[in-house]
Amino acid sequence: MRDRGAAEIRSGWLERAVAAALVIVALAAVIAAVRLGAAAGVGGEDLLAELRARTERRVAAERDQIRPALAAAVQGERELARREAEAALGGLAGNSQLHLLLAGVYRDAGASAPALREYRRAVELLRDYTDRRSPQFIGAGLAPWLREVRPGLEGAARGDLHYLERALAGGCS
Amino acid sequence: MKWLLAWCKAHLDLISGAAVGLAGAGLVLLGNPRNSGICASCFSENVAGALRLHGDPRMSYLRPELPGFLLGATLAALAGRGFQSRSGSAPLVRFFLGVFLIVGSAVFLGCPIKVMLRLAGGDLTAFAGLGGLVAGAWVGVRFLKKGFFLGKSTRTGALAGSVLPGAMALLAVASVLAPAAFTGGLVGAAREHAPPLASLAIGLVVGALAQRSKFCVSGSLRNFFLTRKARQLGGLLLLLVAALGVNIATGLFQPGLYDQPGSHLDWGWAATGMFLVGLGAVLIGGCPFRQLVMAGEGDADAGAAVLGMLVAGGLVQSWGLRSTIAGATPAGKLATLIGLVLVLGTALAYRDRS
Repeated sequence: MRDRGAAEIRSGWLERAVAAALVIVALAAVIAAVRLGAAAGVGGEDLLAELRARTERRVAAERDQIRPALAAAVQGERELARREAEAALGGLAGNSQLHLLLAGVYRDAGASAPALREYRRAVELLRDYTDRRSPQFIGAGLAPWLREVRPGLEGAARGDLHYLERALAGGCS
Repeated sequence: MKWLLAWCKAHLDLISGAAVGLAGAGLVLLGNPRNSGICASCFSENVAGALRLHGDPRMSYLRPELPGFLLGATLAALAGRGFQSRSGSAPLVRFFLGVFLIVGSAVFLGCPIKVMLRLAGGDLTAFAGLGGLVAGAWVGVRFLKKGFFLGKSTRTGALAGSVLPGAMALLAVASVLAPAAFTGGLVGAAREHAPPLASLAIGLVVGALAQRSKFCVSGSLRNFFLTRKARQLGGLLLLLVAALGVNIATGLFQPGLYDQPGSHLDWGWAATGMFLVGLGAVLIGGCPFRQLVMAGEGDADAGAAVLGMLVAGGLVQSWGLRSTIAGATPAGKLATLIGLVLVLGTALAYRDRS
């Protein structure tokens, strides 16, 4: 008898605890919904416009930072292009274009290992560079150069070379 | 003619193996990514992306082959009066094992069929995956011999077994008639695909053959370990030979270790990922491809595994579990280890302790 009574008391506690938890969850859901609705009402459009403006400002700023390095490279001033690109990388470490530009500068200078490292970083940041069907595909010029430099490579440079070869091979990745 | 039919019937597993090999290599010629003509795990990730379960456009495309495999099995089962709606054998456990089949495959970069297709393309790194798969299947068979059993499934109302074929029929129709309704197919690997109608047709044929023959890569290994008869590996061997033949004839066989498409050099993790797949597949009665086929026959428990595969298709991308060509990711390694613990725990929990 006593066991049955104790079981009923425990069962009662459990039911009350579950009911309380459900009330709390329901209240939290209502509060969250109200706050979300309020945020949307207060100006979802404004927020979107602000985000768009911020993105445009960031892209314009990045373009300004890259421009000197790009101009130097176009004029064939390899050393200046390298310095400008490396300086710009301080603020734009995730810019694939800068890494590609640096790769080209190192490659022209005959420095295979740093060129491979920069090509790899560029491809890691933007796989379109090794995508045959992408307008940004660089494989047509890159593949023969990889074959050319392969024999003299060791260590990390060899790893970078194999990474680029796999990226150019395509597949489901 | 009669003897030919009888021979085909008796050797349907061999024919299915050859058909999967030919279809895998043929789909590459038609446009699928290299060495990925058929890959149930890659396709699960692609379909998950198309359904917006992850946000990587490079892996988002509603590949018609996936619903094709399942519907081909449904049609073959209906034609042979083998469609039977059944469930009740630990569906939630199967759901999570389905999740880990895809996690392990994503760490290796391919399902068991793709292991064979990668080998047929000359990808020597796939030997690591093959080793892991064989070892995982062997350990799985140990548990089967110890009485591992997830419970008996029973016949249910027709609806339970028809839900997934119905949903896949909708997807198949939509993939051909309104591909623009889904995300993806525009960049990267997702852009590489065979014409949708051809993909669907090949998927239907392969699914139907696999339903009739019960062909499965992990299943072949399991049967070999159970019976010790080399005949059980015949379908696998023919898959490899057929794909190899097409690849050699078309110049797609390029043997190598370092420059292979859709591969990485973390051999240990590739083997561990496929060990997880081999083990999990033996425990739930087949690899990801076989789960699709069984779900097409009305098996709602396999349907739960397929849903787990689709959910995992989204998770491996969103959580960064999928290996890249640079190697296995830290999150992927952790997920593989967690998967091993959970799958081995499941194997221990469901073994016969009497």
